[in-house]
Amino acid sequence: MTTTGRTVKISVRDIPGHDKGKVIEIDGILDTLTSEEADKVIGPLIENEKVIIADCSRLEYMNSSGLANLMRYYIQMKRRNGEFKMVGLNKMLREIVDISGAMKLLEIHSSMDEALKGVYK
Amino acid sequence: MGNIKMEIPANFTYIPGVRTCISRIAFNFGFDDRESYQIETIVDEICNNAIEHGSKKKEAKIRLECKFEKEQMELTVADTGNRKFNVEQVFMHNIKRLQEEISKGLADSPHRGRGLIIVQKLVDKLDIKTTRNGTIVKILKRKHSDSPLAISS
Repeated sequence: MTTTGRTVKISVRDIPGHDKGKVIEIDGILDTLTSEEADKVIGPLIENEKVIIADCSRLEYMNSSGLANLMRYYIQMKRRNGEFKMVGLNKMLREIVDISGAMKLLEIHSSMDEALKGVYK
Repeated sequence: MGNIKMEIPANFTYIPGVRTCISRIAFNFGFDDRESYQIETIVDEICNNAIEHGSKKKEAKIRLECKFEKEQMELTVADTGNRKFNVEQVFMHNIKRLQEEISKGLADSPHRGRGLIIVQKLVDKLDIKTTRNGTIVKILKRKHSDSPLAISS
């Protein structure tokens, strides 16, 4: 499998059934070039939202720059007592995140339901 | 079997095309889906590193050489160097730091510097040499599959 060489598209929507928090759908490629573009959309949300679920089910490829951004979002949210969770990572990406050592630091879930457990108390 | 040599400007814009190109060639040489994906990551991380930590001069270039043989590929990437940055030393430091943060479960650990650590886990051999002329990163990745699409020698 090789990637299509596309860019990144970030879509933002409300979390179903909840009036706080956002789902950000990351579609395409998160690499050195596109991470900056993605950050323009995601960065402000990190500063303003209490709950963010990153839906990575259409994320085709991510390098260490993209991963560094996701880790930064997680850390920033945690510092604000917020939640940053990831769902939908494909098998190849999970392997890359795992071998980078980041799997133990990030909150990665297999489904949206699982990610939302315990978030809204 | 085949040698690919490229010289590209030290500019991130060129990397997506280069990594996709080498990854697709690897697939045609019999590396499977997963291995080809890994090769795309390997090329990406090594080239990004060469650009980020290499010469900042406008005319700076990075050179790649990729050799495909029946059961393996070798990739060598050379940059023209940045005297202030020793990639070899920083890589060793990052490995140690990463091991510490994993063992301690640090939630606010530094999030940069994982590129070559990822590469190290994906390849069979990794060699980094930093000299006053620049850094050369060389990897060897062996094939672990028998794809029906493999080009025969």
